[in-house]
Amino acid sequence: MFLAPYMLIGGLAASIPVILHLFYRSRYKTVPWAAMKFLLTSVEQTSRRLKFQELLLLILRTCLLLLLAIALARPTFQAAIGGGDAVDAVIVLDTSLSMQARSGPNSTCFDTARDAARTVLRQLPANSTVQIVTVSDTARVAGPLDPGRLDLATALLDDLVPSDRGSDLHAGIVTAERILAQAPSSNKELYILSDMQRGAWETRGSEIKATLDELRKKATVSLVRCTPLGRGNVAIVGITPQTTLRSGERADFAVLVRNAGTQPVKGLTVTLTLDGRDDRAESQALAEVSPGETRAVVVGTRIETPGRHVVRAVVRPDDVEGDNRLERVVVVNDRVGVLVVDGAADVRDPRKSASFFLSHALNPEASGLPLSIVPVERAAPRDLGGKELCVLVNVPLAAVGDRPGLSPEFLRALEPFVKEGKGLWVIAGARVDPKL
Amino acid sequence: MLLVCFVVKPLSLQPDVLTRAEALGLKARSIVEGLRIGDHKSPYKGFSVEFVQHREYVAGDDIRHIDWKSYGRSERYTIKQYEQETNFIAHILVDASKSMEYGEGDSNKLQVAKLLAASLAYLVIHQRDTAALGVFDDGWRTRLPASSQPGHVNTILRTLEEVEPREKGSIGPLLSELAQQVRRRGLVFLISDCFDDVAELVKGLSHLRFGGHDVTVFHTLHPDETGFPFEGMTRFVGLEDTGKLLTRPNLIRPAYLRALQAYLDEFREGCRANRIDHVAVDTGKPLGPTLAGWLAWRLQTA
Repeated sequence: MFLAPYMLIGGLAASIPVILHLFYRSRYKTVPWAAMKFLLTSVEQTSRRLKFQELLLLILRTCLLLLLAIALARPTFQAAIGGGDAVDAVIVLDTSLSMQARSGPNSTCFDTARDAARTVLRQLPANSTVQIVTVSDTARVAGPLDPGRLDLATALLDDLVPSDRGSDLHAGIVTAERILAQAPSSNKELYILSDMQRGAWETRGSEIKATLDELRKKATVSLVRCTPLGRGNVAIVGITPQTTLRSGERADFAVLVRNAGTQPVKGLTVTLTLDGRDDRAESQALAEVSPGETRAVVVGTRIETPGRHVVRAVVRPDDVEGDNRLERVVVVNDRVGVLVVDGAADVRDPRKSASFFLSHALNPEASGLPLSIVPVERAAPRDLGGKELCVLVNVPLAAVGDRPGLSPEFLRALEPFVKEGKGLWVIAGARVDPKL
Repeated sequence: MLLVCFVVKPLSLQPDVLTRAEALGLKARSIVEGLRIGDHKSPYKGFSVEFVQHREYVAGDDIRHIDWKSYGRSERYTIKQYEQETNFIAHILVDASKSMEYGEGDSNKLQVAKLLAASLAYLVIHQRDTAALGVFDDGWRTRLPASSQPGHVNTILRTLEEVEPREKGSIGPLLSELAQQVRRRGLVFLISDCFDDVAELVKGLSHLRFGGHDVTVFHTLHPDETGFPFEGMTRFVGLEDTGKLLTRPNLIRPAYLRALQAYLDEFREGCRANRIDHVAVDTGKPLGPTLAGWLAWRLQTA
């Protein structure tokens, strides 16, 4: 019994030494020779030994090539003992996202499928060969390199993990069909281990059916379904900030949770973390999400520094872990910059300035608010840069006599400032002309 | 007076043969004259000196040969005449069997044998001794009679140059035959790879020794034959119709070298037992040093 009987064709190479022997016997040089007497004497003495040596060498060389061909054909004695029922098997293992669904308290569908694959490997007859094909949205032959090494195949299963991709079972079945076509044994078996998601079958159902029908003529096809525990599956589909994000302030986010399953999911907890800092994570409970329903949960967190931050929302518990998490990058601005234009600034006695009390109210004990105070005559458009709020305190919009007013350039710069959504606060005073 | 009647093959005077013979002569001369620097004394001088008769001195005769005792008795100048004008006959025997064909270019065994034979002939005749040449494979192919004439060197050179490897070699019986034919003692130089039955070969050499000859074997071997450096599938084809063999040389090299060494040991032991000089000639090395070493050894042991 040979595992690769086609390699026996290489046994034809055993004829090479014989051909070379005959070839070189026919190619010789002729030498006229005087001392034939001694030559004949020496040949008489050695011819039998030489012929024996030549024959032995020829046999050894021929046997060497024959043995090489036999070795490459992988002979086995166990096949004869086992009755020759060895199988060439292919295991197609679904590694799509849905295989992460829980099938038990501490196991997933993928674990169940892997256990089933191990069982198949254990029950294969002696001298069987196996190839494992993983399939998500593409198919890949995972191994083993030596199909006869079932132990390697078992070890290989331990290293496989489910992916976060979709499922295209047809690709895996086609790959398996190709492998089985090359398998030399007459006993061929195909095992498809999957959760049999409807989507996977609906997309290319007719092609899968046709391929399987064709395969059944040549091999035994076994479909193994790994059923998930429940049929509810929630997923976080969005994270939306509810306020303008500023550093040093608390921000609220609306987390959208959708139930893509066919059964309601209850007792969920939505957790929000900023930049992966679990110690500052905040959670909100969500009592129930009906099938097809999308619910919003507002979860807040404090943002200390300006710049870009990663906000992650996680919902638990759920059968399918892969879609229970969503991350979003948000941009957080610094604190509000305030420009106070003082229409009645008093340099000698600041307490008499119009903005004196206001500025102290906005920035008590110099708390660090980015507050700028400029007299009206020096107010320029560049002062608005980086500010969120502009306060005009007793500011005349135009110069009246020797009293200064806002410059036309500043007035023109205020228009886009306001249109950007920034604040303009006008505090009237004695110098404000109500008519303007 | 020569006791052996040599069959002399008519010389072919083809221009290319002459050219090659001259080249061979030049090579041999350069080797031998290199050896004669310092003028050594021939160890063979005085061999086989047999008085025949007196004759009257005539102008031009060497006064060293005047018999002063005879002058004292008869007051006439007489010259002592010997049976031979030279001291000894050197028989140079060259193996021209197919096995000597091995080797490329200057390392070809037959070419080295020819050069060695020419050098010995030049050496012998230059010191006014007599040289005879015998070329053989499975029988005598060419035999030149002994002569001490300077022109005899050229005859030997041309004869050697015409020699081509042929037939399977059989040395032992030929040496026995030569031992029976040549009664007068002399020198025998055998230049061969000696790829023959050792017992037969040693038997032939011992016959020559029994005849009183001073025998020297120049054992001419190619480096490939002593080292067997071949690699890869090789088909060996015997040069003397000794069959074919397809094998991997690197696998049988140890056994081959063992077989060769056993042959060499047996042959050398046969030579030593019969007091025959055995000189190993490696055709992959220059001939001059080999010849010089052998001559120096002869001078020391003479």
